Amino acid sequence: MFGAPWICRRCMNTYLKPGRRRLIRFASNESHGSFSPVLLARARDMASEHDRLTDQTAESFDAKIQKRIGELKRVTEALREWEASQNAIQELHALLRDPTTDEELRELASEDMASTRTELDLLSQNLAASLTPKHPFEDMPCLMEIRPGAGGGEAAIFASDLLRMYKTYCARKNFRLSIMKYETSDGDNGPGGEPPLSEAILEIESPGAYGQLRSEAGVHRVQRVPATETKGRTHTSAVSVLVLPSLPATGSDGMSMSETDLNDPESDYYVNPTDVRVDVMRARGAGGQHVNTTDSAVRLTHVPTNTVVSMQESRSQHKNREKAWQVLRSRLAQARREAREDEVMKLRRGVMGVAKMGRENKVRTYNWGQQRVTDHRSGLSVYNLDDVMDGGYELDKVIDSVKTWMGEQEMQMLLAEEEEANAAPKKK
Amino acid sequence: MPRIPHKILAQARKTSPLLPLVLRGARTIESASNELRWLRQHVKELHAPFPEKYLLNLCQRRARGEPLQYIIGTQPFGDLDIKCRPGVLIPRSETEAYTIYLARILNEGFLDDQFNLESTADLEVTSSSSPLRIVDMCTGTGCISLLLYSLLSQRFPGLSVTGCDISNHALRLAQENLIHNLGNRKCQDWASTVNFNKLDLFDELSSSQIHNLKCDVLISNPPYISEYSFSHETTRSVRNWEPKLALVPAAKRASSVAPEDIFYERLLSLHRDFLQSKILLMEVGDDAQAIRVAEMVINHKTSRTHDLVEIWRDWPEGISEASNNLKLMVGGHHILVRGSGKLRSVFVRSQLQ
Repeated sequence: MFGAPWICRRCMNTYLKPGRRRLIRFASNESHGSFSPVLLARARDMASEHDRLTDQTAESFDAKIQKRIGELKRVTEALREWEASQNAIQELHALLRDPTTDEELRELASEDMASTRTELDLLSQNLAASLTPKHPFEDMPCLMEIRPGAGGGEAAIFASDLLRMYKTYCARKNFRLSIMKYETSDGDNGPGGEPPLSEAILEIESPGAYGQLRSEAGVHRVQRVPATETKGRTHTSAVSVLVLPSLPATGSDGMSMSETDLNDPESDYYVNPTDVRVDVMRARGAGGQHVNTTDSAVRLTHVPTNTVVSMQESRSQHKNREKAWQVLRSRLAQARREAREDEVMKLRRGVMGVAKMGRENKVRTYNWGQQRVTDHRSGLSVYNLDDVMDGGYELDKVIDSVKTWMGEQEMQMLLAEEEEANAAPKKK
Repeated sequence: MPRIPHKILAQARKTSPLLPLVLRGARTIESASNELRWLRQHVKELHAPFPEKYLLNLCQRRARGEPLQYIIGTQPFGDLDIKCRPGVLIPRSETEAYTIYLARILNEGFLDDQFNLESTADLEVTSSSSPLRIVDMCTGTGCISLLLYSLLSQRFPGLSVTGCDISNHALRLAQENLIHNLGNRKCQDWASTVNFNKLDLFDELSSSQIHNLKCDVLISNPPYISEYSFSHETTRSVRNWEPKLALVPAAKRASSVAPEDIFYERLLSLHRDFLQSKILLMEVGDDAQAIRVAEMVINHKTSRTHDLVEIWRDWPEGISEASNNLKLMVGGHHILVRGSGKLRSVFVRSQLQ
């Protein structure tokens, strides 16, 4: 279980206390040598369905069938490659065992074997990845909300640091970024003289942004000596980051979502206008030509879920209203998806030991004293804090490690689901 | 105008030394913070040589009550950016709301039968007896004309919009706004146009003028503030900085209606007798005026047309609150009231019987 041959008593007492379980990852880095038979069976089913459908469409064209074929294609191709590689290994094995082969051939065979083995590992990972269903919001652009949590002024300063970090990161990755909302609150000004941040919403318009930045959602914890501190004590503060899928305002290129989805009551994206209360600044007195105020703040309240979105960024009330609707739709879609995921997870009893990406869970710690950034999900610790805060390659490393971890979690869930599905009919 | 409490001024000074200046113009801390943010953005965009000094200058101007739209020079109106200048009325957000709503109902085909239009499957108007014509009276900056053009030109090829105003100054600004907003747009249909003409609404119209102004939709945001209301109900920044010509109707000749309603009387007669427009939309100042105007429409019925009268509130697409009436009783008729907010505009739809 631990991989170490021997643990001293002191370590045993410190690290194996019940409260310290988070250092254990519940995920291994090693690849699956042999592929799970359950998943293999599923992959074979999908491949046969794909072939069947392709034959069908050879005669008649049907858009829905084509869509399904597109979905199954990934799995089918991955399966073919994997099977080819598997066969190659069988052949090489046979070659090695056969006593009549000569030395040269044997050497070549064993070399080939090693490379084919590694190829097989890669392909089986590929196959597993293709089997896990893609997150429905994966290709969408996203909205990122940054809010300071516990820690007062220091949390607000760190929130603006995180904002800068994401700005440079997105610039480096060529994601189009715009600041949709930057709200400051009253309070002591930060070291640069700017008022403290109370809420910031970034809009990242490039497709695929949600998939890339999904791992950033959660509570980021910082441990450092605040700029406002006189005595030099280290304080711990938190900033919460939410990543929401950004639903395009009007149908844009590359989106499979259409107008019908927006109006379909069953879809995640539907928001009933009668459920939403619109609060606009009202002029006292007569209004119209009598006043020329610049109040353009709009606040939307979704009454059933009590979600409130307020927007006063632009001078035009019309634009603020549009942006507010966009944010409201994203938040509701995300909330609905999370609610559904919750339900599904409750049905899978106890596979997921580690908690999901919720707002309450600390996902990352930034420690200035040790110049260290640790992500608690993948367990990776990076010691170049300055590079991370500049949105550099170290941040890339952290994000990639979390993505791999999330992929593995999903694979495990899939496995458990398959096994349960197979076990259930047998019980009956 | 109530004095700003010292506590609020002190709170403003804590955030920034410029905020109390803007606060004197904006009157509440929330809107003052927003305005300061926009002023900062404006100065940054201009790349002024001494930005801090320039920003201070702008804040001092705001402190004296000068409207933010005159300082920055523009006001967003729908998706357009309307230039503003002292001497021309600033576009209001209520005007924006009903203009967008009118464009929406025209685009969604609710009024197609009015114009004998046929729409194809994609809701694009293909055949009609003649292209859609819109006339916007008292156009000022030209905001209503330009917004309607930008929203309707796709569905109504050959659309022509004419904006009229009595002031040369306003017409020059409207022309600038035309170039600024629609100048680089490739006209899909060379026949669709936007024109601005000088016109005194109360002059006798010559027959050629009548011919040129014949239209399907007559829309207007006329001066509607009474002298009393001007002295007591307008805010200081409107009273001291915006042109009175655009706000209070100048007493022309003796008429049977109240002095602030004379524009409505004239617009109604143009709609009915001269221009034969099918839709008339006029902005009004308050509830009482809305009812008076609706009465005017109902009482002066002609036998030729059948009129449908509606009153729209500040946000015609909003959901009306429980306390607001959905129908008003005016002159023995029920009138539908749309949306939420105060009564803001009167909509008349005339059909030839």
